[in-house]
Amino acid sequence: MSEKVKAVRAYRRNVALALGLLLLVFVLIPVFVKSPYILNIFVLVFYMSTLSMAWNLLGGMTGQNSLGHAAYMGLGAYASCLLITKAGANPWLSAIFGMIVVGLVAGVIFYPCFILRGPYFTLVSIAFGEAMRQFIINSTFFGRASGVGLPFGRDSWLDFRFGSKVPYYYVGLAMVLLIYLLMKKIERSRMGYALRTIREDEDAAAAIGINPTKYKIMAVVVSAMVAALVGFFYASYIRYIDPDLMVQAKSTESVLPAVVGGAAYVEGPLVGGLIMIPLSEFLRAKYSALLPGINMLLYAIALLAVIRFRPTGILGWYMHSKTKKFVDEKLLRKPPVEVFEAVELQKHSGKEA
Amino acid sequence: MKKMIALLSILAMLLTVLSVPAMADEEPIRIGTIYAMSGGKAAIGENILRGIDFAVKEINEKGGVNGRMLEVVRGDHAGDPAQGKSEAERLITQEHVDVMMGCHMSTVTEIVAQVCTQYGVPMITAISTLDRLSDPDHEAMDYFFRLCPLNSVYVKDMLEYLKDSAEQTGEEVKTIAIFTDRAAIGQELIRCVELYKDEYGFDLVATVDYTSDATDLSAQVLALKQANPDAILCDSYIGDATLFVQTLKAQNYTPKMIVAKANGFTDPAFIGNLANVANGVASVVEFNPDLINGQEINEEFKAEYGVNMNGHSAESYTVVWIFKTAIEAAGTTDGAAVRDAIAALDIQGEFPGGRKIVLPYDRIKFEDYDLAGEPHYRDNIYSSVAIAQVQDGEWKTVWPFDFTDTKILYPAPLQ
Repeated sequence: MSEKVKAVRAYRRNVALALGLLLLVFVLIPVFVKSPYILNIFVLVFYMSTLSMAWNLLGGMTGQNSLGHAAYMGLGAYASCLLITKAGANPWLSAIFGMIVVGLVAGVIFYPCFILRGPYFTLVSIAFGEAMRQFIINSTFFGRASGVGLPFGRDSWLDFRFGSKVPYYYVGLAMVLLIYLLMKKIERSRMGYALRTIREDEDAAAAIGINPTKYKIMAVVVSAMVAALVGFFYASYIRYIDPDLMVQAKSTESVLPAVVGGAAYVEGPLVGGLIMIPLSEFLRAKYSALLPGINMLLYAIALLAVIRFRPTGILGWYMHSKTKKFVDEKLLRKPPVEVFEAVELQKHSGKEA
Repeated sequence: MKKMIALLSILAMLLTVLSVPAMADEEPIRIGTIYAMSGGKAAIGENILRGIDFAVKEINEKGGVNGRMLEVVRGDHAGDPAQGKSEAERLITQEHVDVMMGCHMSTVTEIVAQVCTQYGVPMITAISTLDRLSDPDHEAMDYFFRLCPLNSVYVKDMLEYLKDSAEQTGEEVKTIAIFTDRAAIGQELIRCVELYKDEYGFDLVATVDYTSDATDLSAQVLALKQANPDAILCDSYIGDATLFVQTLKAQNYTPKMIVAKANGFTDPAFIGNLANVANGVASVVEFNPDLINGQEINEEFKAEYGVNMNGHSAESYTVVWIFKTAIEAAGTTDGAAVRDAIAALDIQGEFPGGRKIVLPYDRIKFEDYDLAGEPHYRDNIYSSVAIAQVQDGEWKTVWPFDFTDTKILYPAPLQ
């Protein structure tokens, strides 16, 4: 028995080591990569993947396809920017304020929608995004169509303002990690099981005592708050926001990394973001000057190819591939399933004894 | 396998040979451009890039700048500020451009200008008209210069035209109304008219707005009809501009003067959509083929691209010449030196070794100055616009009076 325990422990250690190495690579990138352009792409990857994780909580885990995430993000950006520019508040506090505002707005707006079933949520999310955009365009307080700019000035952690990319890189990395851990936590919690049950069969969920409306609202609120956090990060990084931030196309952009990476997995948006965003940037840098728009076309083709041939996303393919088998067995030395079962059994019997 | 490798290496060598320009003995001077080349605003980007290419070709044919060729490195912002920022960083840090031009949305320009200032790359915008780009908040953005007039100068010139028009029409304009979009362009028009109307003694009798891409404008036209102003000032995108004039016609309302702030009204489709009904509509133009200084270049431009030079092409053409003159004066492409040379530049009448200024003014000098009581920085203080009017289905320059021989068509016939 002890050999089996050792094998399982060794495997877990290997996995932790692999993840630690991966993290170390990301932590060390700014030390070796000095090009601001490349760092900028990583920052893009970080915040778009985070936004996509927010979408995935609803779209992937709960099965509620939102097409309004750009609006949560934009609203979060506006709430925090206005608090900074109009009241002179500290940006970090404004971020929390933005998240709370967006969480409340999302909860209040979508509570009645969840009484309805089917595609209504998607429709309302589209309408919500456009309504928010129109509201801002027509409101003097929100700066109308001219947008809101954040002040430039000396580098400062207090004001979350830097000339260099490096601080944004690390804050972005921390944000991705934090949100990833949060999503992982949710997935493994009671809420995660409830959400997945709702996704599979809402009636069955209700029959076994899960309140679908309650959990769906929780998911929307958490998802919107994360999107608002991304909005704050975006605004601090670009230092200018306008209502175009909320256009429909931006909402779609938040869906893509999740779908390409694999919406069924918490890691999906990360994998998708890490592949699709550098690809998009590369295509633009390489081809947009030769044939304007060709980058979008190639991007679309890449996307169609994934959807056509790997509808479960890149992770969906990887999970059942020989590559994974090779990585698991040869590199990480994963013991066979029986060993895991035996170790679990032993643990439980040990406790009882 | 060996064959494969051999083949690939030959291919790689071929590609390297092909990608090195013929005159490789001296590094070219690289001009970065950031405009929307894809997305909904791509058509505007195309006109701008034509103006740039035309100037670059002309300069290279005459031997380049200090013996070095000019080369354009294009970036695409697709109308998105975040993409503009990342393109600016790419052009500066990866492509090592010496100077930068852009953009055609002022909000993107603002972000690109910040990046350029951070890296010490001189930048001139040919067409970004938003006032705030040169206001005190942007005083520190000292690598950024603006050639074109500010929005308030556009509107000031529109009002100036209304005042001067009495000379030809015999009737003085006393009351004005605004018809415009709720989007950013309209907000700017309203703001600027409010700023200057008292100075010119005009009475603003109505401000009528609508949401972009309107399907019906009859209520708005009715409101204008009731206010019955001597002149209507407007700014719209092409669809709304067309619908506006059609609705005027449908309601049988013929305002005596309509003056637009370009945009949709000067879109090539505007006259195409309306034919004779457009006759009499006037608009601000940055350039018009019949301008006395512009006729010659327009012929050559048309021979090259098959279309008339427009305001955007003419202004971006001029910016390339400004860079040439400044780099020659500085004797280097060092960012700070070129910046200082641009700041010290004073072009009077014509460029050294080039043609007369093709725009409706005859001097270029970037200065810090006061505009409506607020300090502004590094704008070309001599820039102004012309007013053109649709006459017989064509844009004819009617103002300033000494840049044209055409007289104002009054009242606007709209038929």
